[in-house]
Amino acid sequence: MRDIRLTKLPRHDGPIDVAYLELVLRDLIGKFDPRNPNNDFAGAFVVASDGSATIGDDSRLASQRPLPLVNVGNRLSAQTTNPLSSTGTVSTASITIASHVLQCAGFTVSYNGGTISGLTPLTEYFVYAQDDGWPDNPGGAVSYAATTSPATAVASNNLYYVGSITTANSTPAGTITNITQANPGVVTVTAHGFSSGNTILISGVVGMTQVNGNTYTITVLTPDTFSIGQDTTAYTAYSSGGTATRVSSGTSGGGGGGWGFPIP
Amino acid sequence: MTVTVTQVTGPDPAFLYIRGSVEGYPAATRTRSIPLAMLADGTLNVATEKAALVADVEQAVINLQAAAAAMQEI
Repeated sequence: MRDIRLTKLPRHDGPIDVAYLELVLRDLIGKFDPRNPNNDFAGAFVVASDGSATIGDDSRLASQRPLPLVNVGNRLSAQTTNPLSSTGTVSTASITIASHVLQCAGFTVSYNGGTISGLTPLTEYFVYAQDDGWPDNPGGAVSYAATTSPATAVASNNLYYVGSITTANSTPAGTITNITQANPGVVTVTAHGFSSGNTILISGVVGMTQVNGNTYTITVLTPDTFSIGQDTTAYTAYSSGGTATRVSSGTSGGGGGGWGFPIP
Repeated sequence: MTVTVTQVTGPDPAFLYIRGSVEGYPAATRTRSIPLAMLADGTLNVATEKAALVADVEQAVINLQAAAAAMQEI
């Protein structure tokens, strides 16, 4: 697309009157009129006989797709679910990005999950990924990174901003001794110390393996039991083992996906 | 199942990126991003990170297989 420039108007002596202004405006509007063969797009607007118009310059714009409006820190998420969670120790933390779907205008993009390790606990990170498949084949397996600078997350083309999260610190884990086949399933962890509303990551369970690697927002029933809000009646029976670890979830931002727009 | 682990590129050169996959299960592919600084000072090591990645991928495959089995019963 060429730069928009005003036509060189005839020399005008004297005060600027209405007639002159009209001349200027007509010229300016004509630059945008697709019916004008001398428009500043030099025929880039191709008008069909039915009156419809397409951009036929070098087809660059014709191949573009609408992008969801997004800015770093935008709390209006276009993701189907907040994919970010964090676990940590006293000295290091990790961010887990769950597999998720990004809803865009007219199409969806599925992203595989990933993990970013070796981060600083209790620190706000902005998570992003490089989507080399954009625009023809976006999504799938991508490499995630985390930065404390929000500008970095959207600094260049083909970057997908996932969201922000404050990393967790020490998360004492509880040993699971039972999980019921019920709706919802109930987990037994002696003296778990959790609170209702906590997000719990379950891992290492033998038997009811369907719960492994998943996070659940729990409801405390007793000091030794809590429900996970998941129907486990059809799951394989619990056999042994397992750990329940409290994790933190992305709460600030936590979504709003989008890509950087290639500059022609 | 055999998990294949390869090094891939990523958006930040300060990270090492490794990707694990199982043939036939593209949805189970997972990528792990490791700060080079943590590898340099010994806080993290590639072997441990690789093992964690393999475990993630294996669990994802198990979940997919369980989902497929459940679909057979519908």
